[in-house]
Amino acid sequence: MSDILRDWTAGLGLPGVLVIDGHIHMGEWRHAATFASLDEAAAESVAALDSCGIDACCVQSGGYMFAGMDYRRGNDFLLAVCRRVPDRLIGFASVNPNDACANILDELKRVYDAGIRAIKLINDYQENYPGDGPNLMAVYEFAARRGMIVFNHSWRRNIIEKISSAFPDTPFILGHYGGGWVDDVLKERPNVYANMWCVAPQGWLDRGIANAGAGKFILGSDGFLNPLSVGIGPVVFATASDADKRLILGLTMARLLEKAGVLPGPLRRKLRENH
Amino acid sequence: MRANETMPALDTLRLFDSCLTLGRIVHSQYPPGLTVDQALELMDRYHIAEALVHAHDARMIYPREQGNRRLLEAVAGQPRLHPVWVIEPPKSPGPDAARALVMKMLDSGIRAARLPMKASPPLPWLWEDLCAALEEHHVPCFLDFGDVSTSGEVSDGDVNGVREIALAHPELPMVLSHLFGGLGVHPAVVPLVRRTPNLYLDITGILEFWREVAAEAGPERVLFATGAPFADPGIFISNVQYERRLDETAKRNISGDNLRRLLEGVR
Repeated sequence: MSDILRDWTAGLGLPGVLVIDGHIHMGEWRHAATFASLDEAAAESVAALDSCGIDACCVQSGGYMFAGMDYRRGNDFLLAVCRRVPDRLIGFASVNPNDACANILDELKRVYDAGIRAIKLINDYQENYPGDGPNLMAVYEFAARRGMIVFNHSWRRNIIEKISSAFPDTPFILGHYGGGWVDDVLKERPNVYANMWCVAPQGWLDRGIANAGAGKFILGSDGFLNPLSVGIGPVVFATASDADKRLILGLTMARLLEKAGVLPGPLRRKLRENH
Repeated sequence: MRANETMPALDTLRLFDSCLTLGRIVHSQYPPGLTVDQALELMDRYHIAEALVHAHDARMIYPREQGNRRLLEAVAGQPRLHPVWVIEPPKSPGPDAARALVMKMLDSGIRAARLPMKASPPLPWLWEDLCAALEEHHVPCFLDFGDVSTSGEVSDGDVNGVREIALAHPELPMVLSHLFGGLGVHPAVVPLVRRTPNLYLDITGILEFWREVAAEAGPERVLFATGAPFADPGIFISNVQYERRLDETAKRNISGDNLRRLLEGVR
C-alpha cells in the first residue's frame, strides 16, 4: 500500500512529503469574501494549510480579476497577505487584458518589483479576450524576459501550442485539467503543465498520469473557495506510485518556483531533502 | 508535511455512499460505468463500507422499470450494495396506483427512492399521491436534479415546489441531490433546509456549501455521497475526513450514520 495513502487515510496529513497547492484564491468575490479581513486571511489560511499538511500554496486574486473590476486591487491584497506569511503564501498576480497595454505592463512591473514571479490569467472570464491577443502576447513577453511562470484558467489548444513554442523557456500551467487533447500537449511541450483541480470523473487523474506522466501535473484545489483537501484526495487515492504522487503534490511546483526565484527558504531546504 | 491535528482515520467514519451509479455509460466525458464487481472494488479502494446504488438506465431511459429490475438482479446477494429505484408519479391519479408502486418497491427490498426532478418537476399536485404513499412508510427520497451526470441546479420554481411538497409530507425524508455548485448553489437552499425539518442535502457535486448547511441546519441534515463514477470519490471523501471545524461525531453522522438512521426508519 502507498505510504502516502496510508498516512492520509489515517488522518495524519502528508508527513515527509513536500506539498504545495498550486491553485488558491484569496480576496473578495462577487458572491462572498473568502476572508473578512487581512488578519483573518493570514491566520485562517495558515490554519487551513496546517490542517491538511500543506507546506505552502500559490495564491491568486479573487473577484477583482474578473471582467469590469480593477485587478490592481486584487494584487494589492495578494501582496499584503503574502507579506504576512512569506514562507507559506506565494503570490500569482492577475491582470485584465482588456486594459490598455501600458497599464498592464506598469502593473506587472509594480508586482515584479514587489517580489511576484508568477502570473495568473483568466481571460475566459474577461470578455473572452483571446489567449493570443496582443495584450496577452505582451504579458507572455514580459514573463519570458524575467523567467516568470504563467498560469491560466484555460487556453485553447491552438493557443497553448502557439505560445509554448514562442516562449519555450516559460512554464505555462493550464488550469482545471480535464483530459482529452491536453494530454497530447503535455506530452509534446516540455514547458506546459496542468494544474489538476477539477470536479472530474472517477479515475481521470490516473488516466492523465498514464498518458502524460506524473511530472506534468500540479496539485490544486481552487481553495479557499473550496476546502484544500479536495485537491489532495484524488492524488493520494490515485493508482500512481508514491514517487509520482510526490511530484504532483509538490516537487514539480517547487522546482518551477525555485527556477523562478520565488520558492520560500524553508521549502528550498525541503526540496533538496526530497530530491 | 504532517497535519497539525490528527483527523479521524477514514475507516472509523464507516462511509456509506448515498449515490453510486451502476451500469454501462457510453459518453465521451465519463468513464464506461461500473459493474457490481467494479463498484465493490472501488468501494474497497476508497474505504467505503456500504452504498446506495441505482441503475444508470433507470435514471435515463423509459420504462424505468427495466433498469430498476436489472439493478435488483445485479445486486442480489451483495449486502454492501443497497438498491434504489428511480420512480415517478404513476400516470393514474389517486392513491391506489401510488401505493401499489411503493408496495412493489418495498416488497422487492428497496428502502430508498430516487425521484427524477428534471423529468417530473417538483409540482406539488403531480407528486402528491406518490409522496403520500412514500410518507406512509418513511421511505427516504432523493430529489435528483442532475442531468446525465451528478451535476445539476435548481430554479426558483424548484425551490418553491420542494418546499411545498416537503411541508405537505413532514414524515417523508427528502434529500436534495445533485445540486452542483462550484461558486455556490441557489441562495434559497440553506433557508429552505432550515425551515423544512424533513429536508436533507447530499454532497454530490458540492465542495463547500454543505458546510454551511451543517453549520446552519445541523450536521444531521447532510449525507455523504461520491457520485461515482461521474465524480472522483477522492474529492468528496477527503473533503469530509479533513473538515477542520466539525467534530468526529458530526463527521461520522455525515459519512454514514445519518443515512443509516433514515433507512432504519423505513416501515
